[in-house]
Amino acid sequence: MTDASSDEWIRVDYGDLYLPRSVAKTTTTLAPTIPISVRNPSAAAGSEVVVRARALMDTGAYMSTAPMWAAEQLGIVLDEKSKQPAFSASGTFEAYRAKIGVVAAKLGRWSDIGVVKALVPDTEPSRDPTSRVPFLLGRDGFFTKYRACFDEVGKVTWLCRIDDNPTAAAIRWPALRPTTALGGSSRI
Amino acid sequence: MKDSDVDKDCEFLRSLDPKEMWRYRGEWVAVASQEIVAHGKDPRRVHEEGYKAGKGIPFMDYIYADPSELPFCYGVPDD
Repeated sequence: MTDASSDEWIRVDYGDLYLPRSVAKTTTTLAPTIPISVRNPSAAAGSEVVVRARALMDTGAYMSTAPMWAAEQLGIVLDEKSKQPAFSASGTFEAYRAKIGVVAAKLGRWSDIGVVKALVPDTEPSRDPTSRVPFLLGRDGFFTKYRACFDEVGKVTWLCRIDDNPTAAAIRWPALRPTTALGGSSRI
Repeated sequence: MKDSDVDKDCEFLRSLDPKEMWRYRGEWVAVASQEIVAHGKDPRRVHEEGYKAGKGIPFMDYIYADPSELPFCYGVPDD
């Protein structure tokens, strides 16, 4: 475990989504995304591929999702028997259940998340526009490990590791504490 | 595979000239060691080429071509 286990809130600034409007202007949309590093937990040691990409922290999603292209690159075996309908705001889709190893999320520094159960939507990346959908970090496996406070006005997410912290119940919310750090990923 | 500093790679993307960013709209880009080491519409191919570039583990990101592509009702700032 590389992350702190004490009463510390980690400030994570929203990440950028890029939307070029012309050769002269790029619009940037900020969203609660973080860089993650993902491995196949079943891969042999030393031979595994790493996928490093942007993940959206999504409190509305129970499960995490990983795009098909990433599952393929990681060599994750998708079992037809695990396929199931899944439901999202954009409708119903078929998805495989899989386990991905989110080895680390960039929360100021790299922090181990561990193995996360994820849905892999059954899409063909080169044809299906849903292949643009980023990784999602859902409640089961991520928010069971981090207490989160989203500050949409400040474009900041505050995270506090709780799964290995016996005093988690007593942790105060960041708004109740003085802020001593501004800008970048830091701690209060 | 050597590591690449993902903070610097994200900062590199953020600092890209709009003219350069425009080239990649609607595509995946793989960034490593503060360079775009691969780009294209198929993320599998981009990831593989990004790895083969040997500049470090590539950071994959998508450059949106149109506001309608933005996922999950993301807002687009007013011009």
